[in-house]
Amino acid sequence: MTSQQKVVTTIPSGGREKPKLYQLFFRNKKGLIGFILLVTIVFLAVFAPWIAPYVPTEMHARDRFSAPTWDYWLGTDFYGRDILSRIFYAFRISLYIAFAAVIFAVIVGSTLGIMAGYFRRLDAWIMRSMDVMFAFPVLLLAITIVVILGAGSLSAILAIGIVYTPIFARVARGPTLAVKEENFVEAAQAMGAGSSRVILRHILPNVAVPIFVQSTVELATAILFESALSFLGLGSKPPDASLGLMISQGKDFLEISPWATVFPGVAIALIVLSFNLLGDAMQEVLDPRLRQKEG
Amino acid sequence: MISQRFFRAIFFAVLALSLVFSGLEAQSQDDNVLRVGITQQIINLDPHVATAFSSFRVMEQVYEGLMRFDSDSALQPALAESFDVSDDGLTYTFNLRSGVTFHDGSPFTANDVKFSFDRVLNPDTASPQASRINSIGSIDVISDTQVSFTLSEAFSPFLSALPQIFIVPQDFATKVSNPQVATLGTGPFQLDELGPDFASLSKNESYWEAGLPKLDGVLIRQIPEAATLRSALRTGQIDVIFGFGVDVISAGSFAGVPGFNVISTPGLSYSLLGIQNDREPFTDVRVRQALSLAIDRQELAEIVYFGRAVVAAPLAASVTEFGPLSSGQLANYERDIPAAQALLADAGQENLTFTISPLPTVPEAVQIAEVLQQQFEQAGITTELELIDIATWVDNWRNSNFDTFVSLNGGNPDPDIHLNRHLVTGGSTNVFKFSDPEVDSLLADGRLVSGLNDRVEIYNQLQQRIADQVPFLFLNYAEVFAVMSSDVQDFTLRADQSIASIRGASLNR
Amino acid sequence: MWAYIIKRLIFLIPILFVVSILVFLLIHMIPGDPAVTMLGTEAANPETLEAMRKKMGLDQPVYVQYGIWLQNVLTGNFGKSISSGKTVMDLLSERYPFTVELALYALILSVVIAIPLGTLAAITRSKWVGFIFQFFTLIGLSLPTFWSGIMFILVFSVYLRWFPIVNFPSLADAPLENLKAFFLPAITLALPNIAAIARVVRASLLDVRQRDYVKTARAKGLAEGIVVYKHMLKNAMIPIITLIGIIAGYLMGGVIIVEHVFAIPGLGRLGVESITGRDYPLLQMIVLFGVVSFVFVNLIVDVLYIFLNPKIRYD
Repeated sequence: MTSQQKVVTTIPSGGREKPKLYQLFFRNKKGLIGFILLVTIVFLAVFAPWIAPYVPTEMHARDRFSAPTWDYWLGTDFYGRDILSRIFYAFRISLYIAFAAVIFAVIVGSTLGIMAGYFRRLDAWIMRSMDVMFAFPVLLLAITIVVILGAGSLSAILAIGIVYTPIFARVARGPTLAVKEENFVEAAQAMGAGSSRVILRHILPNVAVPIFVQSTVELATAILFESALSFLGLGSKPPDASLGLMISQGKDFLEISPWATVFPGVAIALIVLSFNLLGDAMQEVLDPRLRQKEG
Repeated sequence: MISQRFFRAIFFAVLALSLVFSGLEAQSQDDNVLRVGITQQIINLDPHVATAFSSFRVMEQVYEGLMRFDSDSALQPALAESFDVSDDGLTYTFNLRSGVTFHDGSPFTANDVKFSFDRVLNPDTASPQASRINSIGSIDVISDTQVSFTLSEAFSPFLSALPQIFIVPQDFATKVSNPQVATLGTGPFQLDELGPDFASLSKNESYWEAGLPKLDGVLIRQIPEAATLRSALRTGQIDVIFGFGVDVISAGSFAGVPGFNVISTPGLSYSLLGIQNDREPFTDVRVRQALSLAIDRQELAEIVYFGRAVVAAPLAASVTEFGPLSSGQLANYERDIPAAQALLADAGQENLTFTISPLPTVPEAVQIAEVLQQQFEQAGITTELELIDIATWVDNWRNSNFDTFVSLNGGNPDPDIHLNRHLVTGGSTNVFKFSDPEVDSLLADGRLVSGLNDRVEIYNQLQQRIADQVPFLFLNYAEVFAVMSSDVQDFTLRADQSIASIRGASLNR
Repeated sequence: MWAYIIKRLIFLIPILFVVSILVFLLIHMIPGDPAVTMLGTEAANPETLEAMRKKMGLDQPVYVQYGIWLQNVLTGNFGKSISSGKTVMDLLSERYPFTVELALYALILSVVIAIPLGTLAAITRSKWVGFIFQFFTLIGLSLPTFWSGIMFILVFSVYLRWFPIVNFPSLADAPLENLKAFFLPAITLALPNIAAIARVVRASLLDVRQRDYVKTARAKGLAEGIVVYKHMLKNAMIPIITLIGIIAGYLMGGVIIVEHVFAIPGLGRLGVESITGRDYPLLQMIVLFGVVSFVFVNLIVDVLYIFLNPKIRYD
C-alpha cells in the first residue's frame, strides 16, 4: 500500500537485510535501558499488592519518621507508613493518570487536528481556538479545571488531557495537510471514496507515527504535571499514595525526615527518565540522520 | 585544546560567582525590630470585617477595644478605665481612659466608641462581629470620657465580646479611604507598610501605657511552608515563629537547641468532626453516639499532636472558673467498638459509609481525617475522604452540604461565646443543623443568669447533654507553640494565639 | 516587517477578548464565591453574607458583572482585588517584578550554561564527556521542579547556609543581595531548560558540522574556535532560538511552582491565590498578563528569526 510505504520510507535502506523497527529500537542503548526501566516500574505497580512489604495506608504509630532500616527499606512517614510500599502503589496512580490523560489528549487532539487539516472550513476555527488554549497559562488552567471538578484522579486526568489537547492537534494537522495534497488522496476522492474512508485509510496511518512519538514525550511531561498537581494538593486524594502528595506531606518535616521527601522525588524522576529514554530512542530510530550521528 | 580552556573558564566563573555570593552577608537588620514569622497570608485589615488569623495578629497591635484579655485570658479594662453594670444587668457604663490619642494625633473620645459600635452594627459594613453585640439597644455618649450601653435583654457574655470590637476614630471613613489596607487605631504599634508578604509596624511613640512598647517596630512576615519557616528561624532570618504550622514538630526540633526557646500554652481552639445532623443516617442519635464511641481521641492526640493535646470535652480544661468537666465524667467518650457496633445494629446501619471532608487550609485537618478513617475502619465503618479547595469547602460548610467534616473551631474563654452559635437551633455557625430543646434552653439560661455559680451549674448540665446528644465530635484541644531566638524577651502566647503581649516584649541582640 | 508586527499585535485583541470571557465563565463554574471566602466561617450568617455580596457587586447576574468589568477595563480602570482591597494594578505592579526577574534570571542562566555545555558536547571526541552529557541532561529533564527546589533549599540554605531562605530585596536597592537571593529559585527553574537547550545546541551543531561550508572553513585552515563560533554556532542558532521561545512559555508555568516552593510573592502565587479566593478581577488580569507575555515572547522569537536568517520573510 502506498500509505504504508510512507512510513517505511523513514527507515533507511542501508544494509542488505533491512532491520525491523523494533530491532533497531532495542539495539539503541537508550531504548533498551528505558524499556527495562519502564517494564520494571510497570511490574512493581501492577503487582504492588503482592510485592509491597506493607499495606500502603497502614499506620505504625511507634515507627513514625523511621529512617531507612531493614524493616522499612526507605523509612516511614509522619503516620509511620512504609514509604517503599507507598511508592509502589503511587506508581500505579502516576502511570494511570498520565496514560489516561495522554490518551484523552491524543484522541481529542488528533481528531481536531485531522479535521482542521482535512476540512478547510474548520481549519481556522479549530486552530484559532487551539491558539487561545496555548496562550492560556497552562498550570493556572489546569488548577482551575481541578478546582471546578474537585480534587481526584479523574479531575487530574481531565485537566492534563485538556491542557495537552492543542499539542496533539498541531502534531496531527501537519501530516494531514501534507497527505491531503498528494495525488493518491485526490485520486481516491475522485473515485468516490468518502471522507471517513480517506481519513481512515490514508491519513490516519501517516498521522500515527508522529503522534506516537509525541505521546512518549508527553507521557514524561504528564507524569511531571500530575506530580506537580498533587504536590499542590490538586491530584489524587489521601490516603491514596501519590508521589507528588507524598513530597508535599513530607516537606513539612524536611529536616526531621528527609527520606520522606527524597525517595518519592527519585521515584518520579525514574518514571520520567524511562519515558525520556524511550522517546530519545524512538526519535533516533525514526530519524536516520540522528541515528548516524549517535553511531 | 578548546575544551580545556573552556573547562578552565567555567571553573573560574563558578569560583568567582561563589566568592561574590559568600562575601555577601545577611542584610543589615534594624536592631530593635522584632521579626515574626507566620504561615498565613496577611490580607484585609478592616478592623470590623477581617476574620483571618493573620489579620488579627496585625490588627491587635494597631487597634484596641474597650476591654482586653490579659496573657491568662482574664478580662481587663483597656481603653475603658473602669465600668459599672446596673443591677438588672442591662446597662453598662464605661469610664474611658483620658489622654489617649490615635496614631494621627487626634484624641480618643466617647464619640469614637459610639461610632465604632455603630459601624459594626451597620448592615452595610457586613461585620461578622455584629451578631456578638446585637443585644445592644442604645449607645449614649454621656461625656467625652463616659459612654453607656443599654441592652435590650440580659446578656452575660457582653463584656467578653468587647475585646474584639476595635475602636476607630469617628472620622475613620474620611481619614482611611481603604481600611482593608490602611489602619488608624490607638494601639502600641502603627502600620507603616502592608507588602505582598509582610506587614511592617513601627512604635506608637505616644502610647498610653507608660514605657511601652519597648520595641521600635515589628515585622510580621508570611512564609507559607512550615519547614521553610523553621529554617528561617534557625538561620537567624526571623526571631519568632508561631501560628498554623508551628506545632509540636517545630517545638521538638528546637527543644534543647542552644539559642532558642520554645513556649507553649494549652489552646482554646479544638478540632472537631462536624456531623450533618439533618442528613440520614445521622438524624438517629444512636448513629452519632456510635461514631463517638468508635474513635480513640487519645490515640488521635498521640498521632497528630504527639501527645501535646488533650481529649476535648465541650469546655476547655483551662477555663477553670466555669467548671469544665473532664472526658471521664462524660458519656460516649471512652472508645468501645462493640458498643458502637451494637448501636449501629440497633439503628440498622451495620454497613455505615460516609465521607469526611477536611478543611483544606489546615494541614492537621487532613492528618486528623486520615487517622479517623483508620479508626473508623477498625470499627467496621467505611469512610471516604473528600478533598476540595477552600472556597468550595466553605460554601459546602455554609450550606450544610456534607456528611462530616474535620476542622478547627476557635475557642473563647466565655462558655456562651464558645458554644452558643455552634449549638443553638438556627445558630449562625450551627451548620450541623443540630436542634435540641434542652440544649437551647440551657444556653438561653446561661445568658440570662449573671452569677458565676449559677452559670457553672447550667454549663455542667449543658456539657452532659451535649455529650449525650453528640451534635458533633469534639476531638482534641491542642497546645499552641511559639519558638523564638533567645534574644527575644517577655514574648508570651495567649491560649487563643494572640500575640498582643508584643508591646511588652524586647530584644537583646 | 513593521506591518507584520502590527498585524500580530492586532490579532492579540480578539485572543484577549475570548480569553477574558473564558476566564469569567470558568471561574463562575467553580462553586463558592469571594464573599464566602472572605468571610470564612463567619459567612454562615445569611444577612452578613448578603450584605457582603452586595458590597462586592456579586448580587448582579454574571453577564452584567462581565459587562461592568469590560467597560471599566476599556476606560483604564482594572478594578480592585476582592480579597485584599488593593487595586489590581497596584497588586500587579507590586508582584510582577519578582516574576519577571525570576523568569529572566532563569532564562539567562539557562542560555549561559546550556550553550557552552552543548557546544562542548558537540565538539568533544571523548566518549566519557559524551556519556556524562547524555546522562546529566536526561536526568535534568526528568526531575520534578518542585522537588529539586526543595532539595536545593535543604542542602544549600538549611545545611550549608549559603543562600538566604526568605526575604527577596529589590534589584534596585541591593542588586548583589537580590541576585544571591534569587539564585536558587532561578537555577531550579532553569534546570530542565538547561538540559533541553544543551541537547538542542549539541544536536544542531552536529547537524551543521556536516554542512559543506564548515568543511570548507576547516579546509582553509581556520582555527577550530573560529570555525565553531563563526560558522557553526551562528547557523545552529535557529533551532536554538525556537526552543528558547518555547521555553520562555514554559518558564511562565514553572514560576508558579517555584514561587510556591521558595515563598516568592510573585504573580504565579498571586494567580493561585486568586483562584482559591475566587478573586475574579485579579485572576482576569493575571491570565491576560500571561497571555500578553506569551504572545510577545513569540513575536520576539519570530523577529529574531528574521535577523538571523534574512531569507525568511513574513507577509
